[in-house]
Amino acid sequence: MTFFLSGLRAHTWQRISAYYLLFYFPFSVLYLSHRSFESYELFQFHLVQAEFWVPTFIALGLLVVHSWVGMRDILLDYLPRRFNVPGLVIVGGGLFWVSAELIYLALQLVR
Amino acid sequence: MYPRHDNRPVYLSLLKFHFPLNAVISILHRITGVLLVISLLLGLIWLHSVILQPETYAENRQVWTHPLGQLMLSLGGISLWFHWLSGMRHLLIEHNIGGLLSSLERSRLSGKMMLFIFVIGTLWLLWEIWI
Repeated sequence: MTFFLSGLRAHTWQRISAYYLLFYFPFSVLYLSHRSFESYELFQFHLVQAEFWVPTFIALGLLVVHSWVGMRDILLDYLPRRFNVPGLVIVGGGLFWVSAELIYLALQLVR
Repeated sequence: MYPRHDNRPVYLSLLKFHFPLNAVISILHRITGVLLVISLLLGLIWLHSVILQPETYAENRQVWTHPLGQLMLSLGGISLWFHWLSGMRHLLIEHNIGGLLSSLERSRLSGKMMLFIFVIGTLWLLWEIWI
């Protein structure tokens, strides 16, 4: 129970996502900077390659987790206490929409 | 934020505070994190339009050559670059790699080195976006 109440779980996820994203961003910049995006077909072709979309899909999931922990910490640190719950609901709802939208767009892209 | 139970006026002028370099980097890490979440939302709106309306791909691409699009790209890119660099420094400090925890002097030096790399990378990024 202490694990859940101490913030250790959030800290652990923040670190795991930080390590992954630390390596993902240079990889994605290197991958995308050598490709042409002149047409939609080329854009789609480059994004659906397995060597890109698999690490990207993991990265986007971890990015949502990283954003949630970071934004949650900021809200709890700086917002007056009475705004904590509404603030967390707005941020959590927004990130949930981001996750759903990402999955929807990924499915549209591979169609 | 600490709860207050009295009505005494509180005067906090952030401009009068002098923060150490580590604190400045830490608060900028948070500010750039918030900017990145906003960039993520804007990027997602753009991606939505691109993927669901492939026939307007050429028009959607032109967004990034418009000065407003370039400004947003610059802000997002600079935020990502700073957040990535300061995050890496934070992880290195956490594991005391390079002895960054062993002395205040090394910690300050790593902060200055990080800012130097940030400025060089930012100039390159702005060159790529605007010129």
